[in-house]
Amino acid sequence: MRSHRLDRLARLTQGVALVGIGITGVACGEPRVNSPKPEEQPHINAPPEKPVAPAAIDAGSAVAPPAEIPPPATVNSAPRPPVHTNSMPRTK
Amino acid sequence: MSRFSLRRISSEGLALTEEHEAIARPRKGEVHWEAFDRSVYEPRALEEAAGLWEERAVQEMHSLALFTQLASQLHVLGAPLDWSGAFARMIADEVRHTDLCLRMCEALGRPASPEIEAADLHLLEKLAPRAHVRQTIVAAFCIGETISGRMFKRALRATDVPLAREVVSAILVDETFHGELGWELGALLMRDDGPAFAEERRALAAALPGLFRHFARLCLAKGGPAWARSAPEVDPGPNFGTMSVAGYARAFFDGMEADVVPGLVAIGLPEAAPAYAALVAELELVQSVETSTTKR
Repeated sequence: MRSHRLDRLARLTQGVALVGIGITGVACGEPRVNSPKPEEQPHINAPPEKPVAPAAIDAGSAVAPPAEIPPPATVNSAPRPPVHTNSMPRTK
Repeated sequence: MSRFSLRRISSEGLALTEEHEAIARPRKGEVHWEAFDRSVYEPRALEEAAGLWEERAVQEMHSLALFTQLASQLHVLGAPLDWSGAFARMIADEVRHTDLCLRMCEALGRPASPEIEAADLHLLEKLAPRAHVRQTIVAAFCIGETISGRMFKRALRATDVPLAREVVSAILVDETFHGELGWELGALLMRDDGPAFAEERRALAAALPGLFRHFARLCLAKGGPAWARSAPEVDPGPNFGTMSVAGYARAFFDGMEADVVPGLVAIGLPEAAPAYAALVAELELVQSVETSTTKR
């Protein structure tokens, strides 16, 4: 490794730390800058808040899919995901 | 955890396969698979070469698993977005390398579906703290990818089978970037960010002798640098991108001395120099004991 590259690496170690606020911040209970407010719609890839227990499905109490998906509040916000995305509609 | 066979393609005609093929194409240059005529080579040479490329496929798959998980850890550690972009490229590179290795086996007439032990994939612990991420980046990139880049550079010099040259070139282009990125990440992660840093740095420095020993084993460095530099770098016969045992070991020692140790010192780990000196002394001692035992 040439000396100018080594000098550059040494300089890079100086300055404000770029990593480390994540887990430490969460552990301290500090809200993250981009964390959604509780009342906001979850991101489309957010996990469901209350997954249905398999036992409940077996008992035939799975929630039926809504007849109509409500329109999203904004263009980029996703509709709230169903309680259990893989639950099948009940058949009589 | 369980074992699985690594397959290259799910099925023909899928959009996902098409997208994969696009990712798996070399970033620079081209690989002329159809131009390769394996009938020109001895079956034994093809067999040995396929074995090597299959082994490389497994190693690349391990890198893919590690980098993917590392990227997700960085997201929750608050890394700037450009880290995600760089990791996205690197993950795509590892997909490409694994694919190229498996395609080499196919081209050599020995299609491979290597067995992967899921438990052996070098995955990080769940919710790895910052110190663990830092140590993994130093190990996997500042040491592993740096030496790997040097190995592929040397292998390219020795490779005389045109198809293998194209594949090694494609991998080398990516490895060069990985080495560069790894050192930048390593340096940025070594910024002092508070009282915990000194203890984390000390723990990382204490881990260096073990890391050096680990990579020496991976690179087949059973003796010291003098042995590696005096033995032939390649085995006789057509070269499909391989080196001799001493050749791999030499790439390790050269990489450690020219890049790894000075780089680690530059990013704030001066303990790297004595740790490497101790490793060399240890390897030379082992070798001298083995030599004297053989003479008797």
